[in-house]
Amino acid sequence: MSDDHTLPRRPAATRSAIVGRPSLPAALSSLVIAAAGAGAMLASFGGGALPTEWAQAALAGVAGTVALTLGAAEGPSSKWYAGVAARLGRTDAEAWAIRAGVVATAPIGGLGVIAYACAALVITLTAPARQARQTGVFRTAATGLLGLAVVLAADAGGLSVGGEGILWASLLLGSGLSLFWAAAGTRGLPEVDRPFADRATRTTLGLLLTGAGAIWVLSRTGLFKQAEGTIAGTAIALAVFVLVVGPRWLRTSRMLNAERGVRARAQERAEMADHLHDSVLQTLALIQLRAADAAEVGGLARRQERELRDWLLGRPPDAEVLTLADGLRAVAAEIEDAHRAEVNVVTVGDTPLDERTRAVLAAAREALTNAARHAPGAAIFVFSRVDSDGVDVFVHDRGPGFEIDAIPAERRGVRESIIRRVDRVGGRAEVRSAPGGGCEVALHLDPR
Amino acid sequence: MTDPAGSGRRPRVVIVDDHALFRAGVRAGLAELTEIVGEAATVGDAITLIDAVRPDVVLLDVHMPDGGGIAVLRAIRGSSPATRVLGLSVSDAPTDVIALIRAGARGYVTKTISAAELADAVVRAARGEVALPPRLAGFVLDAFSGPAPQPADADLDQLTAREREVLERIARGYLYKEVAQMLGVSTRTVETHVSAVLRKLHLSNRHQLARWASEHKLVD
Repeated sequence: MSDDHTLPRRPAATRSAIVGRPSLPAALSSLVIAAAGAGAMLASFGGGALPTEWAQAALAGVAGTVALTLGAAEGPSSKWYAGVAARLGRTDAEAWAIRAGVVATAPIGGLGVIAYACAALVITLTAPARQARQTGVFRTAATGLLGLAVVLAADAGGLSVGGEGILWASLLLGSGLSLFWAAAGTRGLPEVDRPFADRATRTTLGLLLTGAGAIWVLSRTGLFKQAEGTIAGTAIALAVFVLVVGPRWLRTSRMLNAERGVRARAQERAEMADHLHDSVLQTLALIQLRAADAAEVGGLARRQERELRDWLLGRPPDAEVLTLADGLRAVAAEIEDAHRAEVNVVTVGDTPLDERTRAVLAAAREALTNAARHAPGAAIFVFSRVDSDGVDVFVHDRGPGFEIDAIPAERRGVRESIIRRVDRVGGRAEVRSAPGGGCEVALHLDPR
Repeated sequence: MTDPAGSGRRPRVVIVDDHALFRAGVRAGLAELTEIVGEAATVGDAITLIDAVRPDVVLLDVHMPDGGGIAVLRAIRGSSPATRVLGLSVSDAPTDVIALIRAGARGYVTKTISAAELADAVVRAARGEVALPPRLAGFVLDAFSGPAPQPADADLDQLTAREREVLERIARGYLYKEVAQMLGVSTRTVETHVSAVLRKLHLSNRHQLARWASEHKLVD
């Protein structure tokens, strides 16, 4: 089965909107905004009117606006950046409240950014593989840069709490890790035609950003120098490795499992469809054809039920008969098919087939054939019991029975063939009329 | 024990099955000998209906969505204790019906049964008789073979020699009255033995019974 059937595809129209170039008005307006921003910045640098922090914030804002304009061409989406708020908020208003909260608390030691990154990690790990769709890269960049502009502005205005370094490091780490993790499990999936959307680019970019962020943190906190060449250094390296690679590995295996599950289910379905087609549907067709013949229809239905039940229980068809109980069931099925009779088999205990039990099985088959021939339409019961008293098999039909003195000659022959078979292996056989008018054949073997 | 058949009244019956076609067939077959007081296709409807009409016999499909026949049995056990429940199963495989029996059904009949036999089974069920088909008798013999569980309740975890004799003859395809004739006892005595067996089937801690029951989520 190809992936085309198992993966939801975007409609062609939306697809081209994503791939297509930004429209001319959008491109022009972004150029105008960018030019205005650049002009303002040059002016401020030249005149020294604005401090560097404000210039950085303005630069981030302009770049964000440009990216936003380009991102508008990526098609409609409720997702911004990593799509955390869109997923957490039940309504648009809630999503926007979450976004505002993230941006507002970002200057407080990077709190909002860290919380956002944690939520993104949890969603990455727990979301069903199918829904792990990525936000467009321009849109992501745009929201990231605009958020950054707000944070920088707060910083410049003296509103931020906590070290500037931690903020930068957490921004780099968060973005890098989410890129790296998002590339997991996409092997074999159709690549979306988007810049930075392919697996290798995301992985490389993610690792670079993460590395930069990690070095920043380590150098800032002084851990880098302290840990050099010590056991603690190895431990930190290991911990970082687990933290970076662990989630991605988890995500990959989860997506692979989901994919495998889908394939296995599809295959099971196909096999089941094949089986039902070959068995039940064929029988139903036959039943419709032979609707007038009640006996035939009954026989067909019984055979189909038997076959279906064996299949449900996982019994292989035409399996080699190795035990007495299996042998009795097989013989009963044969008689049902050959004589359109109804044979009920009840077995209690079982024993492997050997010379003696084979003789009993052969005698039981004779008795069944006899019952089906001489009591047509009557229910036939086979009961076997294997325990410490030996082996007992009863074949009982609810037919009209017989007068002991008036047994027809050929039936006497059958009686003798039944009795002789069991006699030869040291067992006992008895043919008697049953209460209720039928006939019962009792076969017995002593325990060895 | 109430005896609606003895008082000359036809037993009042509720049919619970999610297949409309099957309900219609049963209704037609039972119309003469019983009084159909209601039909239900879902577990919820069945519980409400049985609670309202308090029938003598409920014919209860084993395989139904939303918990199946067992959910119905559990719900009505307290509210309508005099109602006798007879399971309806597509097959006579004991594994399909044992959970329902353990939950308190008075036996079962297969859906391939003829209309006359079904009417007979319903009238008998209304009298308090247990419907123990040959396959179930064989299953009981199987389940009660081998050593009893520890700690054993001899009264519940073992079959008496007489009960074995009765079950074996039922498994061989004999009717209760024929079994009685073979053993030289009254039909009533055979019915008493079968009731005792049913009680053991409900209450025994035999591993095989417990396992089937738990596989059908019957264990609380």
